[in-house]
Amino acid sequence: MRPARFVDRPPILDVADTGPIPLPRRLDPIKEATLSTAYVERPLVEALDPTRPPDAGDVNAFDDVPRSSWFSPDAAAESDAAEPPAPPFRLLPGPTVTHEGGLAAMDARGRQFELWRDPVDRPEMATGAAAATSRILRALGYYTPGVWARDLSKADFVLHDPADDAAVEAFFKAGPHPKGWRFRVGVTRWPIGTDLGPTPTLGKRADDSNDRVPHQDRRTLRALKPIFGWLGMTEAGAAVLRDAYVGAPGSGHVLHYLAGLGGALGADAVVRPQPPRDDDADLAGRNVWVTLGSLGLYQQTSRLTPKQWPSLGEYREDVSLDDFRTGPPMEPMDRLLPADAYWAAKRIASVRAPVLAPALDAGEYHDDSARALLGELVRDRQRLTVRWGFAQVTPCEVDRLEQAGPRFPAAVILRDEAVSAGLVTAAEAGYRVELLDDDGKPWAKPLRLERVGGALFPVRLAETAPGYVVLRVKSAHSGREAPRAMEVHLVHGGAAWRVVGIVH
Amino acid sequence: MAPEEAASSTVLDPARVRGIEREALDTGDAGREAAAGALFIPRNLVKLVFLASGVTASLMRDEQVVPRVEELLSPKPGSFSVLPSLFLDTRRRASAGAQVLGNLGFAAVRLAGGFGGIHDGVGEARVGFALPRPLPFVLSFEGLIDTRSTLDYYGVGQEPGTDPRNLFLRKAATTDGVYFEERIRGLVTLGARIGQDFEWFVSSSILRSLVEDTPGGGPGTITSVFQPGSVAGAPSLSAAGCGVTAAPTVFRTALPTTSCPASSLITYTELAVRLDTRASKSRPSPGVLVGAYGGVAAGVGDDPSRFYRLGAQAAGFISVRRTTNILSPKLILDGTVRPAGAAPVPFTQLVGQPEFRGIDSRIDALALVASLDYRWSMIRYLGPRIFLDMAQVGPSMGALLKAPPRFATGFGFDFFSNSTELGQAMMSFSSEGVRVLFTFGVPTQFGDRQHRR
Repeated sequence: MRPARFVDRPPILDVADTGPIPLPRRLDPIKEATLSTAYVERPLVEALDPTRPPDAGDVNAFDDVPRSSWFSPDAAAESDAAEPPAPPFRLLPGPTVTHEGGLAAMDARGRQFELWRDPVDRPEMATGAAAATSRILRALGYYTPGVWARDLSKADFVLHDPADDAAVEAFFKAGPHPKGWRFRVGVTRWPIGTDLGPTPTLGKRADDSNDRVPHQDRRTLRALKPIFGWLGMTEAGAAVLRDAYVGAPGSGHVLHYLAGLGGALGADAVVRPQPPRDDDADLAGRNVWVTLGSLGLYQQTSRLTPKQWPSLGEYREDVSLDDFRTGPPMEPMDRLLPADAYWAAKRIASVRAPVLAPALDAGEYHDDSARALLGELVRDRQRLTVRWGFAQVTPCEVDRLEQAGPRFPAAVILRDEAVSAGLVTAAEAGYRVELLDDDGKPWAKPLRLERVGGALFPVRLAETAPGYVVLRVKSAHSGREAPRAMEVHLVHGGAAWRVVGIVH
Repeated sequence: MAPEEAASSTVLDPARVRGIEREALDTGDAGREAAAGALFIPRNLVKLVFLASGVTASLMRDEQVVPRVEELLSPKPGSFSVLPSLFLDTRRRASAGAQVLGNLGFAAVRLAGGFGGIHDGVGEARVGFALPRPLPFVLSFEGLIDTRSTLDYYGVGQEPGTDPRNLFLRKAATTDGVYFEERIRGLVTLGARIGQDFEWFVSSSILRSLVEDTPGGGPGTITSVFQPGSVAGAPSLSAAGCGVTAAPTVFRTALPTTSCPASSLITYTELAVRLDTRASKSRPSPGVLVGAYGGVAAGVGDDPSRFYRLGAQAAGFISVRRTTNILSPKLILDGTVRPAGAAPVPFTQLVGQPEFRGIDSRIDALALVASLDYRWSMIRYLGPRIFLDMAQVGPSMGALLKAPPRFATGFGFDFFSNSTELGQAMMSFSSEGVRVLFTFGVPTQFGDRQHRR
């Protein structure tokens, strides 16, 4: 296999896709069309297309995702979410989009919010999950609106007429019983700017000149498979991915949000004892072949979500990332490549306890045992997801580059992320390193490195090396070889070496 | 590792962001690319078909009154869609086409065109006006022109080959006559729903039909199979001067035919009533469906036709173990009645059996179809069904009941949403052969009988 060749220049860190554009039209896809595309058309088309999905298109030379309107690794999206809602709320006309059946409202500072409630039988479940995951996703680099779990009463609303009064009454009645006089409410800061409808998961927005990468080939969206798997986001309907236009019409741009998060942490996957329903919603999760073969006469039973912790959804310590899919399935997730999975795992691994604990605290769970259990489950699944992602590739990164000195040749210091994360010990890790030129021809004998003593290990670069060098590294953890090698591309002009590209 | 410097950038091309000047080369890619090239057409055909999706279905349902009339106005006023359609049936020529669907705010509009070969095409325009209140009410105007070149005529009766009314030519190479028909039809329909489940339609149409031998049909053409003059409404053999000078020629080409076209111009007015207690017409729902219709047809100008049509249907939808498992027996009776002394009814106006899912090849004055379906939900929006159909035709009720029934059995899958049908895939087996049907974006049922042919 001939390696790619990278241009000799620093990696791009910002794609600058926030230039001013005219206000795009709001998308409002028909649900049936979306479902028929997801469940029928795409499987047929994919069966007729043997080509591999292309590498992600929103990735820079260091195999990382630069800052964009989709991804903000330095938490630029936090500013809006930092300021909690300030009651009293005034009701606004129109339906809510991040959660069905809520109230659109404006707070005392004039900012718009969507207010919504938990399912009647699961107090704090959805509101807590949305508040927690919005913070976790933001820590991962995604744009999410601020979400807060609040206890509100009628006194937190400015009611202008009997219709407002009735709307608030109905809103409160739609969810669980109050604690005292206050009702648990999810408060989502939305819309931020102008809501443009659900983010298309296929193709690009034709009316957004900043939108240059087909969405199915965006790593930020492909990576949602392990991220949603970790966070138990099993539904990916129109409420979850939303586009918003920020700025004055004509001078603003589109930002892409993960907005409707009430289904996170297994909230959308709760399995309740369910009698047959006219809309067949109860058939979800059943074995379709049994249903087909038994002519629908055999009533399959499902493993029910425990009632012991009503504030927790169907969120267990085990998850099969390979099989994880949302409903409806998302094209980008289905095109996840090993490098995308690895990138996602790195991001997930970067969310440490100092971030996780306050995020889960934002869920405002009144049941301490539920909060403690949730913390354990989130950490268990995080570790499992990171392990899965790191196992897709050779999980090594360039830690630093040491230039040649009078007594030592130049060296690339590589870091094994799996060892760094404590998933394997250094003693269990070994590496085979091929040294190639840009045509893929070896210019030196391959190296085999064993028991390097830590997460870091050097690869020396001889003075006789060609001007463009590819280090192809394949790791073996506990004797099991990684399915893919990683590559470090280097150039040297004169005495100095530079890393110009990384491939996983 | 920190980058050496952050590149300043404006809106960047993805290739520039990736920084690759020459892509990697994987030896396995060439084979995959070649295979992908070979599958280009079927792959894109699938994409084309699915463009129709739910938009088509929801707009096409505008033709019915029973569905919530508000849905008629649900598309945004002023919006139009251009959508493809596909119809595949082993008994018919496959056709593909496109339609423009739109909502003018006060009316729904559909312009459709389809192409199934050089002699097979359809063009249709419909404008429907709907009022949801105070009574769900629909008024629609439609124009249709179509040509179909490979229609079958086996003769009348349950067993046409032995029915004495069919006079086959002794030298005929086959007993299956094929013919070409071109139709131009104008139709006005008025419908309303009274109460929750009851609706009525009044429709009136004028139909000009031109029947002749299938161009290039060879020894199987209708005039090569049946004795001249023995089939009312069939073309006749003549060398020149057929006497039909105003034959429509919109789709028909100048290919030579062996026959002299038969033309008819008939008006038909019908009253239909229907009681349908099902909660949903698309997904499996329990209930009862009862309907009846009666209409009068009269020739215009030189056409001496005069006959009546009567018919009824009754169906039950019974839940088995769960609401959406539906066992459905159904009985459909259609008839054409010719008053004493009236001219023979053109064979194209006799009743067939479009509900029979085997080979719909029998026509006569009376037709009876009995069926038993079992339909259940496998997953949301997808329902398998199995069925058994029985069909009989005859010149009178007594003859019809004595006729040896034909049977067809099969299975299929229905794609539907909560409010509309999206498509159907079906395979049926009968002693006469196998039939495969796939529709997407085309409604499988219509609000009035006039659309059934």
